[in-house]
Amino acid sequence: MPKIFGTNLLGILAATIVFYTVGWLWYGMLFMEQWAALTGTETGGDMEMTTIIGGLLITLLQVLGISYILQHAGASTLATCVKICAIIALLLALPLLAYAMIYENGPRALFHIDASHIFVGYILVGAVLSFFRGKDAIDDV
Amino acid sequence: MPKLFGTNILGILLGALAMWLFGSLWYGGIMNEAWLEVNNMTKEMAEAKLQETGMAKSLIGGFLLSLLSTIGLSYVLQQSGASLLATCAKICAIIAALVVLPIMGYSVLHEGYPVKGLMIDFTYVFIGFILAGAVMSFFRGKDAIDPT
Repeated sequence: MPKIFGTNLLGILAATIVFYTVGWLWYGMLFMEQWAALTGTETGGDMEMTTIIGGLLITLLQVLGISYILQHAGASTLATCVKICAIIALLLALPLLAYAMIYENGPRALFHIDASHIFVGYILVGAVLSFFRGKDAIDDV
Repeated sequence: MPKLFGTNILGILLGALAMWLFGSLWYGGIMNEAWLEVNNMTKEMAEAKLQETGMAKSLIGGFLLSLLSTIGLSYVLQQSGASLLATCAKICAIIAALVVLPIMGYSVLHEGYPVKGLMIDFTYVFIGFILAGAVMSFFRGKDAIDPT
């Protein structure tokens, strides 16, 4: 199986599906009503194919970005991959989500929903990818 | 001077400052009108919103977000052992494209945020990350082992 950034392609796809499923669980079930109320979005209709494909592509890109960072770190064990992903989520993804709260006075509850989705998603992505990074990766811990 | 993730603290502060100043230039000058148009706002509405949020919160909060992002970039540079200007800038650009752009894409896909707005916001982060990476490259010392 070919590799991208030192991660087996199957692992990249598996992590993408896991992260996408977290998103579906977050915005389609657990926090659907709160999120819809906070963003003024309508819920309940069938999801369009372009939204599904777009969502998968967005998720895939992030998984590739995480793989790129794990490759640079030479990480392969579960604990290291999860740790790195948690740090990336906290230091790179969450500040980005907070801009709306700071500059547009966006609702704090919306930030909490989005941030927890990214945080949990990134940790799971790291966990899944760790099983597909092979013996060549040199773990730093 | 103490280091954080292999980067001198002064380098992190200057990297964050470069990113933050570029943001002021981007949204306050170069792209101000385009950004207001995308968000269906007039200058008066934007000023009223700024008053509502509070100038201090915007300035300090904005700098803190730039600082957090710069620390995050420093962490990735440390993992990569990068120290050369070209390598640091390249890694930061890739992080912007593969981590930041997709996160920004969610609002276009699910909340109807205009693509033009995404392009304005992403260009800011892309250039801001490259600037932060370039500045930090001068503060990463000889211990960092460059992979390229």
